[in-house]
Amino acid sequence: MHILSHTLKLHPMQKRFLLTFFLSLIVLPAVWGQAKKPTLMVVPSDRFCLSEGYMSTFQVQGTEKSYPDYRQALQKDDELRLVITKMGSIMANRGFPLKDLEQELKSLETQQAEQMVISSRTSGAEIYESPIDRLRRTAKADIILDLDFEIKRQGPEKYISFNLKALDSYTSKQIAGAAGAGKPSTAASADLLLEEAVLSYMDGFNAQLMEHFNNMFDQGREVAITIMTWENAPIDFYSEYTYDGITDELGFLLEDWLAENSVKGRFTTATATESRMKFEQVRIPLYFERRGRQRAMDTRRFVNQLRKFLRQAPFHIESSIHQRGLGEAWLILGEK
Amino acid sequence: MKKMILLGIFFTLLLSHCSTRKNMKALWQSPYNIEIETLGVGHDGTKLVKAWANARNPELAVIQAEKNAVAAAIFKGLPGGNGSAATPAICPEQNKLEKNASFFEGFFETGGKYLQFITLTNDGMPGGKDRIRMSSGYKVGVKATLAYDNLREYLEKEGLANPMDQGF
Repeated sequence: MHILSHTLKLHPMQKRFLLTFFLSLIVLPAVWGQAKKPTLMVVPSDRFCLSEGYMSTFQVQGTEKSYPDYRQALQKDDELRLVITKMGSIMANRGFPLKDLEQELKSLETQQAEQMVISSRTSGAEIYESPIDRLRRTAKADIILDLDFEIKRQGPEKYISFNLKALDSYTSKQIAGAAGAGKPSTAASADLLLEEAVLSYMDGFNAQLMEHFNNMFDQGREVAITIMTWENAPIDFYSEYTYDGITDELGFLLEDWLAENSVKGRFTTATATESRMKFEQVRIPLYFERRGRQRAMDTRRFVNQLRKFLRQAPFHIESSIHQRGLGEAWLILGEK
Repeated sequence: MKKMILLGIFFTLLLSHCSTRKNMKALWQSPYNIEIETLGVGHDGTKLVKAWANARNPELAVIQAEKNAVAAAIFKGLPGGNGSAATPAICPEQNKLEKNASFFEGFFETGGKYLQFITLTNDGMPGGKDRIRMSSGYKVGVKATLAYDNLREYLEKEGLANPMDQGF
């Protein structure tokens, strides 16, 4: 820098600017984090499973209930596999490799078997798994690509009716969609028509997904937060506190916190009772700073800030976080 | 008096004719005024299209039609039809062309880089309904295969289009 300033005869202000510029070039890549990438998975729709007969029936408290049997659908349906493979290759090409439902189901089964046989060498203790861990051991993704298609006939011609929805797992909102019927053909095989349908719709579908991501970068990630109380908690959401000179019910003070900490103060209170508050459409920032470094934010991290806020005076409320994925978390007040 | 009225009518007609010509010229010169149709679903990453162009002779019109097809994929998007859904533009942002004029001038130079992303279904001169004699030249329609995915990836690398996983 000294040689540079000497040869170029720089003004001290210019020197300072150059120094800051070069330093920022070195430091910025190290501190700038990247947003958490959502996972995507193609799941055959309930209608598809029902119409193709891929359903399993269980007795739930004396009532017969039917659920989609994804394993059966993936093992038996060639056309479904073809569509998933085609979609997978297109999405991987766009930088979003899909989670494979079939592999996910297999992996869960293997994990369960392995967990049952693993024990510690010292005491022979088994791996601890709470009932909630067991319940949550299911195939899941942040964005579900709900797929439905049908090969229809019109006289001698056949055509494909195609319906694809991208659903946010946490807000249940449809963030992209593609639906329509393909060109009827007498000669083309069903496989070819299906391939055509996927190729035809995926560009428009991906453009909508991209629009959703751009909106997320602009206005924050949209998540859902539920705050509940343990049954033995000494407080409820009607309990009154005085915080920052304002005396109000805990529920309203929580809304104040969200208004201050969400992006542009955006959230909706969906439920507000004495024992439960549900906030939807909460826009959380994509990054937070930890030890001088930008890191990607998820709902668990965001709710952790609320947990720390409630631990302080005047609340002194202990609570525990239960993560339900990248975009949903529960905070249960009363104790850990 | 009669002379004056006739002169008035003459000038009014002349002015309106000039204004129409000006409007038509602006329309023809607009980079967004592209006549294109989708012919069907292409193979992986490609689009089958038919693009039209006007020029003094058919050879120039074919060259312009090729450029039009690539420009439509970049700035306008391709319309749906013949069993294919509509394809969004690779650069849907407003004024992308104007903001990056120097890049696109080089890209769309005759014999330029755009040729890497378009293949004509045959190199013969279009005939019949695809070659229309106009008062000022020819209007020609060419059938072509657009390497849409390759074009998108190229523009992403050049920083002119946003990749889908940008920011993650």
